[in-house]
Amino acid sequence: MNVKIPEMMDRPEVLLRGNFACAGCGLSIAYKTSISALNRPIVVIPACCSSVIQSLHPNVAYNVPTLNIAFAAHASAASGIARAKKMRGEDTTTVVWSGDGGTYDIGLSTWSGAAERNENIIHFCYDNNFYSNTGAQRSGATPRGAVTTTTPRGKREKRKSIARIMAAHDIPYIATASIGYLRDLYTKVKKASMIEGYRFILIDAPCPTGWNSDPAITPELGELSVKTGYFPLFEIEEGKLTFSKRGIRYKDPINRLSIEKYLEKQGRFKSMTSEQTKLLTDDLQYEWDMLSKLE
Amino acid sequence: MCSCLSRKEEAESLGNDSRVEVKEMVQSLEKPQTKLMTGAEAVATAAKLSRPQVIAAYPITPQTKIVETLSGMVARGEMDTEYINVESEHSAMGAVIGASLAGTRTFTATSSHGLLYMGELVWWAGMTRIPVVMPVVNRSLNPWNIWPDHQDAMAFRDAGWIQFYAKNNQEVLDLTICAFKIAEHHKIWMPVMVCLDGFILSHTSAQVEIPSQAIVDAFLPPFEPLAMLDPDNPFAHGSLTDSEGIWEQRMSLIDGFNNARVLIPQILKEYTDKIGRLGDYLIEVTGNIEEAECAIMALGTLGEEAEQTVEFLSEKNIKTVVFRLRVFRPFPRKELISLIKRVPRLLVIDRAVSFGNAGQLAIEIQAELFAHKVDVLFYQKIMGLGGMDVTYADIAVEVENILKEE
Amino acid sequence: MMNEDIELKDPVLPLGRPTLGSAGETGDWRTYRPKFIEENCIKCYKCWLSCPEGTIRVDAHGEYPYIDYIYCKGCGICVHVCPGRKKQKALEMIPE
Repeated sequence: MNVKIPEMMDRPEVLLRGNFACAGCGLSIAYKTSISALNRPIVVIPACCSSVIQSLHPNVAYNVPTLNIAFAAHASAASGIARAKKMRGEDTTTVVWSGDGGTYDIGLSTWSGAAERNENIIHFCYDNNFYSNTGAQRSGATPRGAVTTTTPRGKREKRKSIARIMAAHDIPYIATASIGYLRDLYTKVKKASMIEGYRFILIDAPCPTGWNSDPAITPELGELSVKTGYFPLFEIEEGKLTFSKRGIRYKDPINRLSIEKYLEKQGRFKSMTSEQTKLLTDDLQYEWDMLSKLE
Repeated sequence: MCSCLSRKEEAESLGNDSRVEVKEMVQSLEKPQTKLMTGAEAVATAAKLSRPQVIAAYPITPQTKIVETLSGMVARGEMDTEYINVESEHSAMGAVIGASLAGTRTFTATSSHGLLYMGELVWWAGMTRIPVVMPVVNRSLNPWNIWPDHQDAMAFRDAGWIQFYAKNNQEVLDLTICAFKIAEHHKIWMPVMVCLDGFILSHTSAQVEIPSQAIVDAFLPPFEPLAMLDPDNPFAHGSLTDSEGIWEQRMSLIDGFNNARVLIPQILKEYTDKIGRLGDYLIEVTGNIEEAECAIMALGTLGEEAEQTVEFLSEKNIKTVVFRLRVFRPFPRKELISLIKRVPRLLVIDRAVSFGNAGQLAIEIQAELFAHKVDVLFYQKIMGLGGMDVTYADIAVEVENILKEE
Repeated sequence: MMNEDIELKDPVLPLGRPTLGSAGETGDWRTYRPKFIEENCIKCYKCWLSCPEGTIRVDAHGEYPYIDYIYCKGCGICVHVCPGRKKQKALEMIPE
């Protein structure tokens, strides 16, 4: 099941042009593709870059109903919306659209509660590996070795595996996707929209401003993250993990591009030592091994 | 009513005892009843009669009985309500904000640390005008202590919420029903806190008259959203706002409270006319104001305790009067000043402190006295923190000390 | 007892409405602009798909894309993803 571009073209425009997003913004690409795939979405946005790119009140770039809410309140507010719309008998799709700060860190308990209750919500996490709207501080999603404004010598800890934490909640659908593979993302969103309950989609969304990369290569970085094995593409349904067609060949390290091909295009990895690169490579392999156990 | 039928059917399959229970319940919907109930049960009963469509709450002592009672009512099909068992108070308020903006009547309840943990979203609801009703069962803050004082609710006096303080279980029930109508009035449209003292009210049984469902329905029509998250008419709620925008919204909130000052008595009057109880006053006056040597002012059950003091002291031939503030936000300045002008002395009792200054009620009244150049001998006392028992006799001692000092 | 003559104002709710160009004419941000070369376009619409801003416009499927220069921020993604015809790209970046 792979979607064709003409079908995507028929979808409504959800993000209006002339907004506050930086040139080459990865999350804008992720948002456009994901939200346009949904039927009558209502989007909850906690503090994150998405609360900034919508521009200044009273003008808004989002062309869908949007609730801006506090950092750690996305999934709870979405729970309220989903239940209220059920009570009112309205056909809508309730969405959490959160960055990695809101998902990996400060908002972890709110989504964990909503996932445990299996609320009827699609939770998207656009993952740019750090706190982008406050100017590039480390998050639980920052990979080892990456320089952020709060890890000037490179982060010393490994990146959290949010997909495995989410998987421990035994929710009906989990997927990872990258803006380097937009049709794969769109297809996964469509699939998620057919399922009831708490669904989670993690999207690799490069940030040229914070990663210190060329805005023009934002989609290429999305592809490279998959091809180097940095960002595995998979789905988890009923506890069973399936690596996606687009990314399964990178399960075998032999097929992966060298990680340097990914790192060298980003200023945040410029000062990586060979030891840090080795540790990062080990982290990636460890994650592949752990994910493979869920197959 | 339809929820009753399913309960009735269920009961019929269970046998005679349940059938009697159902009969009682159906009666309760048709005509007013008097029941012995705790303050927590009064809150739950009021909530049930007000037909909230979404409830989200997290248990905390001494609020627990409210959420337990309500979840029982929902589980038994007595309420047509989505009940969300959230994982924290922060999420409870998050969920009701979402549900309210999605077009439903919402309700939650909390206390003490729960209110503090909810704090960020208490402000969110206040500043962005979410018409939720939330009873706060007043309880002291840390270190751990479960007994009543007003420190919790007072910490949120500036958060853009209307605040009521109830004196007994009857008032808890009546004000909670009125709170929905007040919160949802299109010229007010803001959240309402109904404060009740922990244990003294929440866990103490007293006679409460319960209005019939029909009369409450006549008083409180279904929820009518001013703005609703709707794919056919999209808007972004609470998006990034510049200084001018914030200024405009804050000024509007000030206007909203001014509207509330006018509209609250009207709504209380409408309730009183329909139900035959409650009264439309913002400040309850007990005792003979013309003869009083000293007026006593307090909130909640301290106000009711002070009413006993009036009687107690009159036996000693000391004339006092009680001004019990029923509503603290909006602050009923005009009514207060017109009362205080008529007495020679005023004793203000606070059950909370603004540390570094004085009791919040005392501070605010002093400001009004200065602004209106009221000539009264002013006294203040902090009492009952951490649930310290305060009796009518304790209050009498304070009054006697004042009179002796002069 | 109450001021009956007080004017009761309607609440101002924090609602923002969808607006084209909510951040102004963001084409001003550009230092380079994408130039479209029709003869090299194979209508794969990859530029449309990957444009973060939605400034690559396509009126109907089967038609050539065009660029809304009023809002295009000049990031260059469209040029980067364009496969072109026989390795000749249908888009190139030129200085403003």
